[in-house]
Amino acid sequence: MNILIYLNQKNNYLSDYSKELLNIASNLTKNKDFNIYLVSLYSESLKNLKDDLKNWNIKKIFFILNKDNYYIYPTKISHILTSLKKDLDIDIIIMGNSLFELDIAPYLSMRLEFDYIPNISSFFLENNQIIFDRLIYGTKALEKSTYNLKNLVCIFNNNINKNQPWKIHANKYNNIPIDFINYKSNENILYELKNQVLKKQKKHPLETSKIVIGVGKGIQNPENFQLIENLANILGAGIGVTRSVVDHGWRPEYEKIGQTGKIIKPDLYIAIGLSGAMQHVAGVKQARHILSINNNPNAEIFKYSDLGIVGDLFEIIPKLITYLNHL
Amino acid sequence: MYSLKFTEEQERICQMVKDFSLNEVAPGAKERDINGDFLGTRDLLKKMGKLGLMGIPYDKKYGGAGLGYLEYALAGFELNKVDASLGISYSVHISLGTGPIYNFGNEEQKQKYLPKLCSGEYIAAFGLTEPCAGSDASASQCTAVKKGDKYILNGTKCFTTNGEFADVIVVFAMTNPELGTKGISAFIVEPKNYPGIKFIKREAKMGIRASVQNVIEMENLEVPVENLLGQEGKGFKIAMATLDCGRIGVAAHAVGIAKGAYEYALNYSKERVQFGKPISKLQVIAFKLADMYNKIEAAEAVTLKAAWTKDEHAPYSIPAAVAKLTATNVAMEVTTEAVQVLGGTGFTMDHPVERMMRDAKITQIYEGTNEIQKLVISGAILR
Amino acid sequence: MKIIVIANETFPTDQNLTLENINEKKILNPYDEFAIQKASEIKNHKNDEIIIFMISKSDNLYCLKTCLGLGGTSGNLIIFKGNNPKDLAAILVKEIKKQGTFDLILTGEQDVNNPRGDIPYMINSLLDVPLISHCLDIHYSNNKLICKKETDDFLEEISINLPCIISFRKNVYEPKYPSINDIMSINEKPIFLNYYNKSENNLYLKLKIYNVKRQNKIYKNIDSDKAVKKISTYLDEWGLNGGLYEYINLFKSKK
Repeated sequence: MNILIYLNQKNNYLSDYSKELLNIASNLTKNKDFNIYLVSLYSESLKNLKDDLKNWNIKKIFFILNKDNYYIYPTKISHILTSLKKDLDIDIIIMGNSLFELDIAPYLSMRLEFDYIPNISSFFLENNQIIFDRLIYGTKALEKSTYNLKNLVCIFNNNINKNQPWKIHANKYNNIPIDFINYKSNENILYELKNQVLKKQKKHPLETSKIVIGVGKGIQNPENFQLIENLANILGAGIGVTRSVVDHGWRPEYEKIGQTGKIIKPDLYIAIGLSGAMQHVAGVKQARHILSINNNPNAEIFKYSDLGIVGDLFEIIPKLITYLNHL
Repeated sequence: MYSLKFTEEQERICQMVKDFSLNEVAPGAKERDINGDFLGTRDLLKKMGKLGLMGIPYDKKYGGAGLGYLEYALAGFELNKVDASLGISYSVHISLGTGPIYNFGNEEQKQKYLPKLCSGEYIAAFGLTEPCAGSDASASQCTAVKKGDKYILNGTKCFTTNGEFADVIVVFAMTNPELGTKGISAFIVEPKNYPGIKFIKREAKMGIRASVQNVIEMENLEVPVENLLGQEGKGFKIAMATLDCGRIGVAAHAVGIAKGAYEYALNYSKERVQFGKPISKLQVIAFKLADMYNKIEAAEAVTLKAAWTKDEHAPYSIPAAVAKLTATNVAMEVTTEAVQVLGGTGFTMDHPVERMMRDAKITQIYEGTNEIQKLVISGAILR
Repeated sequence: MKIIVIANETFPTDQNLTLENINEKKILNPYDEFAIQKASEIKNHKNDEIIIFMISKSDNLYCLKTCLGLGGTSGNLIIFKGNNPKDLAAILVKEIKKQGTFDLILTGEQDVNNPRGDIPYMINSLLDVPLISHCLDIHYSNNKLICKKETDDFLEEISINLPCIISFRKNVYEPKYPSINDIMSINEKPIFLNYYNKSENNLYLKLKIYNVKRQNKIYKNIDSDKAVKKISTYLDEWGLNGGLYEYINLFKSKK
């Protein structure tokens, strides 16, 4: 079986998500006879990753070169992957769920006439077939689908519910060969980029933080967020908000957690001053532990919490910060 | 016989007013009531104008929606569930303020005022009641004297809903005091443009605090001759006919208030636990809720019947009086019981039922006291 | 100008889901509702058309008519009981081609209840018309469409020629209510129905209601010092306190 992984690699260390994708690829078949190919946009720091990558059975790495720094159209990346599929006779293509990869995968599946399965939260191998789980209806329902292990484009969620032990194979290849593909942009321009504004970078991005603090209307005004940021700094936590906070204009839309915002899967979700409306809870139902603080004993959030404290967040949070500082 | 099933359009209108009420009106209703924020109410009226609600029963050629009193009543049911102050300001604009111009104005007056009134650009009010002329409209002391191309109006009007932010007020004054009721005439007054009109008081009231009722002083108020509504001496008939329509609006207003209180009490009773179970499981509370439901069904039915009768162009004075009498008494009873169901906490401002009860009282009094309604009904049945 | 909007109805997000009511779709997908709002803003000429396409398993016209009340000028209901996204895309493209030339296709990027988000890309591939995905806003000036697009790191402003496809990442914020005139004019607008048979490519999917049981340990009458103690006890029990200690030291050392 030939598996092609598109890696959205940015940093100079192999991200947890990339490691997960590599592990997933290694576990897609019980049969030991498989080849993994990697594709990624080239960056200076990526060159050094070759040593990390030795832990997996990677047959070849393809780097896409963009020497002249052209704007990268996802459809053109799809064309590159289409050629690779034909040259290498790829059976399964897997990717992560960044916005860029979400632009590539469905288009690619249409061109290759492959099946497209996104938002995979877990998978099982059974009788030479693969069963995928997807969480839909705001994580209230589970959809199971079965496919043959061929002609698939899959996008796996991060922090995936691993169902089989991650196996790390001894590397077959001592020196992983590298190939370069040029990103050609002398073809027709699809659209013109006029302006680019950097999104405010969060210290601990919501999607990958192990601890996330959720803040609702109970914070009362945007100045009080300083208290939450202090707590988040100690815990290394990401901060997410409910729809009311975004509606009031206190925080930007991309921090919204919920059915119409981000669906996250942290180890610990701390819900502060939020009532626990269904659409918000849908975003955090998969958290391993939920701890909530609210001064209304009838708040909905308590039905969805493992530990709930009825109390004033403005008294409890400072004391919690003091306690954690002394740990 | 009328159909008991609503058309798809009528259901969509109900849904739209319901969504609007829940999202735009309900969130600030409590604060507007506490602060007497009638300008907030005026802003909501403008928003309703954009949705075409300010001209529901009026012809499309004048900018209205071309529908009838039935759709107006349906809108009133939903709107008054959350904010009775907005509900009465709306009803006064449609029935009492715009109605006379629509029903009795000449073509120039209609073309001049109706499009702006139906779009919400202009808001209307009704100046009939005076300190010494309440139920007895013939005891009016306001005078109107013709001088050249103007009428000069003098006198005091009170309890004028929407008064100080209205763009158009239909004012009644005596052109011939010696003729009694046959000497009253109606005028279209533009308070923002005509000199001689002052708003000297805002009533401090028990309820509907987010609507404004003013005392208006007219001192040599100059009204152009073209703004005489109908003919001299026809004012009393115009006022009575207008109040007939207004009664249907007030009936819808009262039914809405009752529905809002009932639904709140119903939901509360399912969650409040005493003696180990929700109080809705106690027969005494369940029967109270059944009584409330019963009364609201009856009030809604007579209101819809009155609205339908008017839309069919059949005589509707008596059905309108029956609707107003029934619905407003039901509103007072249901809101009082709703506070009772909530118990001590229903008396506090934590819940809206105390506001609904305070709002309901005035419905038994304005636009023809319930005693006047009995006069109208008994007069008709004993004729 | 001819604007095509692809809309879908879906399950209300604030209702409790059960296996019995899962097929009762009652609301317009909020991402598609946003697309209709944007279409109404771009339409500036009386003769501009906003054609609503909707694929549904039944021939109930209520949701399509709601779209017409929100700004659509005509509606096209496609009755198809299949569930394979490739079939849905192929059918939509077939119907879109019947319209002849068009200027814009607008749609929400995903169904609020099923985040597949693949239809816009499949239509992009079949029609070969450029697609701008993850859009937050659009406006039209000087024969060009200016789009605000969200990427992983940036908010980009992009200029593109028509025709093109836009998929929206934003859903309705300030609901726009249909006015009385809008509601009354719904029945004057043309609606077309098209029936398609089920294909062999139907996906076999099993659905299960997913419930996570929580411990529900709620403490009501405790003061803040005891609250902090309770929190630390539970973090210990969950194996996080030791982990927390690691986190805290990790971040302290990074400072």
